[in-house]
Amino acid sequence: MNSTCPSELTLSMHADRELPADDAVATELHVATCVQCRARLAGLRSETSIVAAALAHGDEVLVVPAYRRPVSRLAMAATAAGGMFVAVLVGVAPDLIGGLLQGPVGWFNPFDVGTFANLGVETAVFLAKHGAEVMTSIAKAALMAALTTLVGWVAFARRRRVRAPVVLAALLGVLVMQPLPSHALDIRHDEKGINIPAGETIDDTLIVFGESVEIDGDVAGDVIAVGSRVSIRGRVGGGVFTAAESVTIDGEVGGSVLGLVSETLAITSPRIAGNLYGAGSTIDVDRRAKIDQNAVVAGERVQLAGSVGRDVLAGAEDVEVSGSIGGQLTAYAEQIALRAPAHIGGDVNAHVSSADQLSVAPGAVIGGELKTTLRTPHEETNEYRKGDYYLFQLLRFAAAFLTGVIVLALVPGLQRVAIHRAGDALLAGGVGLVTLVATPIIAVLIAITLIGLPIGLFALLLWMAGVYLAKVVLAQFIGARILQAPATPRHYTITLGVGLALVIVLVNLPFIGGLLNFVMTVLGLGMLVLFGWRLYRGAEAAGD
Amino acid sequence: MKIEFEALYRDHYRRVFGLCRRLLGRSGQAEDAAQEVFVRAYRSLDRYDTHQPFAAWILSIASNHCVDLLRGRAREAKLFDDFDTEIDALDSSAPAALDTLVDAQRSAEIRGAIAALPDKYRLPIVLAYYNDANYDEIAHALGVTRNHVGVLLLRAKQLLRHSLAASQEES
Repeated sequence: MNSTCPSELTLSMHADRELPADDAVATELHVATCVQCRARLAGLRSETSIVAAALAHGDEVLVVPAYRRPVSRLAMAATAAGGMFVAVLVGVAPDLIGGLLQGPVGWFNPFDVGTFANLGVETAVFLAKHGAEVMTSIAKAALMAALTTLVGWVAFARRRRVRAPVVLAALLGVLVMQPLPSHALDIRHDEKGINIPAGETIDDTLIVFGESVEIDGDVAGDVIAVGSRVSIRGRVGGGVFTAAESVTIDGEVGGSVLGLVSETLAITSPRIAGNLYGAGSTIDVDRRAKIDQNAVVAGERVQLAGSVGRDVLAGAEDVEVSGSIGGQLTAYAEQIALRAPAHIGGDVNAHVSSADQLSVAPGAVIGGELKTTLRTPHEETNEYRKGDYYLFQLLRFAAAFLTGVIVLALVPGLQRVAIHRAGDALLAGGVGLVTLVATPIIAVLIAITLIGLPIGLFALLLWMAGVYLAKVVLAQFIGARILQAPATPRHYTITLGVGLALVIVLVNLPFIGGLLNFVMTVLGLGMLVLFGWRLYRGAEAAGD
Repeated sequence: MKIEFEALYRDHYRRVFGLCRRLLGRSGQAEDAAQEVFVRAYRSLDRYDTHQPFAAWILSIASNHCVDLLRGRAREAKLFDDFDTEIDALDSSAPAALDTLVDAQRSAEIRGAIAALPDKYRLPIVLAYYNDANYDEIAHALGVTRNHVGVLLLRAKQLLRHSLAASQEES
C-alpha cells in the first residue's frame, strides 16, 4: 500500500456505494491496478454482507403480541377527562354543580321535556342570583380540570419526554387560574375539623370540608359546608348549602339555606333572609328562628317553633307547629299538631290518613281555613299501582318512539351506531359523561359574555336535544342486538320499538332504575357525540 | 380513508420490532417501542401517503422513534460527537475486515456485539445494514452529515472487529 492508495474510509464508503461519482470512478481505477486495495475492498464488501446477514436473523422465535387497537388522542383525552370528571363529581362537584342543577336527578330523564323547561328556568333564576360567585367557582373548577388533564396527560405519556410546549401550556394554565378566582372563592379542607374563629371575616364564598366544621366568623359570600357536624354561628352574607350528619345554624343568613342532614337540622338563627330547604331525620326550627321567605322541609320529625314569613310545606311522620307562619301551611304527615301559640296567617292544608291524626290546640290561631284531606296510604306509597303511572309511561314511550322514528329516518347513519367492544363502551361512557357535565358549564361560561349568549344558548339547546336522543339511540342499538338476524336485518322501527320498551322498563325498575337511567343516558350521549365526530371527520376527509 | 390497521399490524410487527430491538441494542424496551410506533402510526394514518409502501413508512416512524428515545437518554451528553472527533477516532490499526464464513453461532455473536456498540455507532449500522437505508436517509434520521455517516459506519465496523477478535481469542 502506498501514499496514493485510498483511505479505509474511502474504501468503506465505496463498498457501501456511497462515494460521489467522481471519487467512485477514481477509486475504481485505483483498485483495478492495486492488488492490496482490491483485497481490502473485497474484505469490506464481504464484511458488510456478513453484518447484514447476521442482522437479518435472530427473530425466528418472535411471537407477535396480540393486537390492541391503539387509542386515539381524542379517546385518550376523553378517557382521562372522563376519569377526572368522575373524581371531581365524587369529590367537589356536587356542591359546585349542585347549585346550578338544583332540580332532583329527574332532569336527567330524557323522556320528560317539562323538566328541561324547569331546569332552564331554575338555571336562569339561579344565575341571576348567584351568577358571579358560581361563575368564578366554575371557572376555577374548569381551569383546575384543564390543568389536571394536562398533568394526567403528561403522566400518561410518561415515556415521552416532556416537551417545551407542554411545560409552557402547564405554566400558562397555572398563571391563568391564579389571579382569576382566588379573590372569590375560599376552599378549606381538613379531615379532622375546621374552625373559622369569631372575628375572622371571609370576603369570598367559603367551601369547607371536614369531620367537624365550625364557622364562628363572618362570611360575605355563600357557605358550602360538608362534614359530619356543621355548626354555623357567624353571619353569612349569601346562602348556606350544607350536607352533614347534623347541622346547627345560629347566625344570620343573607340568602337561603339548603340543608341535607341525616340526623338533626337545627335552626336558631335570628334571621334567614331567603328560604329554608331542609331534609333530614329531625328538622328543628327553634322559636328564636326567623325565616323571611318560605320553608320547605321533609323528615321524620319536623318542629316549627320559629316564625316563617310566607308559606310552609312540610312532609314528615310527625309535624309540630307552635310558631308563626305568614302564609299557608301545607303538611303531609302521619301526625300533625298545631300547638299554642301557633299562628298561621293563611290556610292550613293537612294531608293525613285519618281525621284523628290532626290536632289543633285551643291556643293555636288559623287565619284562613282548615282543610283536611284524607288519603289512603297504599295509593300514596306505591306508585306502581296507579293507572296514571302506566298511562304516563305509555305516553313517554310513544313520544320517544315518534321522535326516534323521525330522527333515525332523517339521519340513517344513527340506525347503525353500535358498541362492539368493552373499549367502545368505555370510550362512549367517557365521552358521554364529559359531554353531559361539561357542555352546560361551557355553554354558561360562553353565555355570560354578551356576544357568546346566542352560542351558549344554542349549545344548551343542542345539549338538551342530545340528552333526549341519547336513550333513543341506545334503545335502537339494544333493540338491534336483541333481534339480531344476520340474513334479514329488521326494520329500524321494530328494533327501536323493542329497545325503547326495554329501556323504559329498565329506567322504571325500583332502586336501580335511576342509576340505569343515568348510565344509559351517558352511554347514548357518548355514542351520539362519537357518531357526530366521525361524521365530521368523514366530511373533512372527503373535502380533502 | 379506511385501513385495516390490525392486518397491517400483523404483517409488519416483526419487522418493526426487529428494527427497534436492533436500534435500541442492549438497553431493551423494544417491545414498548414497537407498540408505541404502531400507536403513532395509527394516530397519523391520515398523513400516510398510500402510494408509498406501508413498510417504508412505518419503519421510518420506528427509526425516528428509537433515535428519539436514545437521544432522550443521552440528554446530558450529545448522542453524536462532531465530525472531526469521529475522524480522529478511526483506528488505522484495526483488524482486517470480517470475512470468515458465518455460521449460526457466529451470527449470534455478531448481533450481540452490535447490540453492545455505543448508541451512536449502533444506530447507523442497523439503519444501513438491517434497514437498507442509504447514507442520505441515515444522515437525515440522525441529524448528521452524509460523510459523518460514512465515518460512523467504518468506526462501528472497526469496533466490531475488535470485539469479535477478542471474543474469538477467549474461546
